[in-house]
Amino acid sequence: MLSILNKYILCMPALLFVVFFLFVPVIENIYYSFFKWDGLSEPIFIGISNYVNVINDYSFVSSFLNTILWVVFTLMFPVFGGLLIAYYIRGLRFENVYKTILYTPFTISFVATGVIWTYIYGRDLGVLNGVLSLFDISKVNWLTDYQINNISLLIAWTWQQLGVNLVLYLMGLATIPKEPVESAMIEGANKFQIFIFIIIPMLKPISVIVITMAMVNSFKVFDLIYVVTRGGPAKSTETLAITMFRESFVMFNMGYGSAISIILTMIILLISFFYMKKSISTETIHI
Amino acid sequence: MGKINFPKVLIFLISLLWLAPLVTTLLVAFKTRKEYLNQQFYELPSTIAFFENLIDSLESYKIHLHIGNSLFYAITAGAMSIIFGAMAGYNLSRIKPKYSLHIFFIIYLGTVFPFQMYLIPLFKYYDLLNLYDTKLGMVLIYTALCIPFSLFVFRGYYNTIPKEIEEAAKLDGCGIYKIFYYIFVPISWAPIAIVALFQMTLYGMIFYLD
Repeated sequence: MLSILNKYILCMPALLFVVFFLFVPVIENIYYSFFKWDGLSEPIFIGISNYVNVINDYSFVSSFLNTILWVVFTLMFPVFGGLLIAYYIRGLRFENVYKTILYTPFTISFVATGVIWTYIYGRDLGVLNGVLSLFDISKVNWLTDYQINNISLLIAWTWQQLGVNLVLYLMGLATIPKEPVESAMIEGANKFQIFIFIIIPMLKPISVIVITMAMVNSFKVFDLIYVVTRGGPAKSTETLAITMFRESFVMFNMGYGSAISIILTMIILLISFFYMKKSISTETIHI
Repeated sequence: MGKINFPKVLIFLISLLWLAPLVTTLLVAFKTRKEYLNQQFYELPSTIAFFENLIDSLESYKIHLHIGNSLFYAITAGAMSIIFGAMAGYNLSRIKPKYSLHIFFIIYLGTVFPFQMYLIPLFKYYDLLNLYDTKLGMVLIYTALCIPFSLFVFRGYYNTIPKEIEEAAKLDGCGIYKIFYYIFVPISWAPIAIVALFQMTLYGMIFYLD
């Protein structure tokens, strides 16, 4: 009926854009990861020793653990918290006001968020220490104390990311039919039980999308950390994305940075692939 | 009567917390440098120094130029990614050629890579093609970065549209392009708004490519 060209022509521009601007550079980056290269002189082929060095590096391990912390925290607070708030916010009197307030931080860019929270966490002029001093609590180094600075950054991250998950979950909640909820209410289930046993299973299609997006984003987070702490002090807030940037563009170990970025991409790909495969195979959803 | 609704109070408190950083930052914008250094954060500024601060930032940082640039990128690249995303979404959800799911996953894979993956080679290519430090180069890479999400939204939306409309148009003699132009484009205001909103907020974020 339709010729082959006609069938594919409409998706060609999008495909070509993505292939030429994203895939070709990525493949070239994989090639660089087998070389020792400072960005200027001739690359020297060194096989897989970049990867071996990365695995044996102490700072890689610590930033890997930080990345895992970011992912877990993201799934707990911005995603699950967003779901909880979306569930309880529905049908409230000022639903739209709450929704707007909670969504506003997402419209602020990461860089501006970083600046705002640097001001809040500041030691002497910061807002948070100002509030604490009202209660006679001594000053806390929110960003330089290595036991709490990751949590400080994660709070800023939650502040920004909660809104978008909330809005997506509200969209999902709107599609849930009323009948199962009503019949559970008649049988005497309270709001919390309905949430656990009916809402969460029925939200699965949108949850797959939200969780995958949030997970991928939390693996990739860079701007916020870089603006607020630059991975410091002493690499204590570095995630893999920051380590990779530092190696490639500050230390000019291009090959080493490429190796880290490939390890990170492989982790993201594997996790999101298995998660999506497991979730999609049991559902008949259109994504 | 008299029973406190716990979640309601909690949500109220949370939204107050969410507002606090914005309010304190807004207060600083109205303060002079001296006041910022000497006052507590909750004290209101004695004089409104907002316009002096604004003029200061206009003069020393030329933010009006940067806002113009951001708008330019957002509009051109946003429009391009919406058009290409809608075309591809229609193609992959309606015409469904062979391997359409694979093509979708290949394009959507574009969201997975961290930006350092493509930064160095891209820089090299841009230097080779004289695109480095030009607006055209920026628009092209922004478009490429936004297409996956745009396709995702449009494909999901077009999947929900009933087949009957399309079949009726086919009986009346429309080809695939006419169906796309006369049926799918006029009803896509919702996904266009979603993509435009999300991407506008994204452009401000991508500072490292400048």
